[in-house]
Amino acid sequence: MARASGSHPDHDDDDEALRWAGDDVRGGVDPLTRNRVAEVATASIDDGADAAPASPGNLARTAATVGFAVLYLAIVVGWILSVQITGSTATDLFSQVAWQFGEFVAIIAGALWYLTVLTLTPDSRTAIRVGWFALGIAVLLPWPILLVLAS
Amino acid sequence: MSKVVVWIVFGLLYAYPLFEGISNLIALPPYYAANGIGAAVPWWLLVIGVAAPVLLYLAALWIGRGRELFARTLILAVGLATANALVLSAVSWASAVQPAL
Repeated sequence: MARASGSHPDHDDDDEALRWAGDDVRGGVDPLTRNRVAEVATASIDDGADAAPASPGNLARTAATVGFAVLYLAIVVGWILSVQITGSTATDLFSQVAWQFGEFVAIIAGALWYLTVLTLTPDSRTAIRVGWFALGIAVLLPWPILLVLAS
Repeated sequence: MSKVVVWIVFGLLYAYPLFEGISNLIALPPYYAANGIGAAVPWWLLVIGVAAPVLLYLAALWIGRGRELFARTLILAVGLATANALVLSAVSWASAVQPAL
């Protein structure tokens, strides 16, 4: 018998109601699947077992992520100090504005690099994330202030 | 479509550090020569100043290929910030290694 609603007869209405369109595209987990996973996890808990220790890979990854956060903070501070000692000799308005903009983005470069690596390598191997972090440190060293401090 | 708009807008923003690099490349050697230190022109810094914006723009496009618009924009922004930081670094290195006039 055909249904008047026109929906697919095989379609589970509950499934449909508990899903956001586009969840799978964005890599998200829809609530229904999440609940099922949670139920399975609850069911399989062995009360007698100790809590599983965090895997060493995860620990190293977290340590690297936090450690590089501190380094990148230092980079940003270094650039804030650097732009105090660099200056443009240009007098026309456009050059002044462009120079100021350049100094501003140099200050936020460290923060941008860090957040971008964090955002774009959620599933990458730890080595890849650390590699991008290290490359950013090397490229973004605040040379203006470092050279002044070294001299 | 919006992809192309992002490419063009960032292309214009990358043009400024590139312009700075090119004008340094053109203006610095004659300035050094006029002051009798023509042999000390820091060519590698001048080349970095011109190459960095171009290479970072191309690298940002390449790394961003196949990603969604937000990620592409973020990567281009990181490249732009890096280009500007590198130009400032190159300028500070140039004054650090400049012989006394």
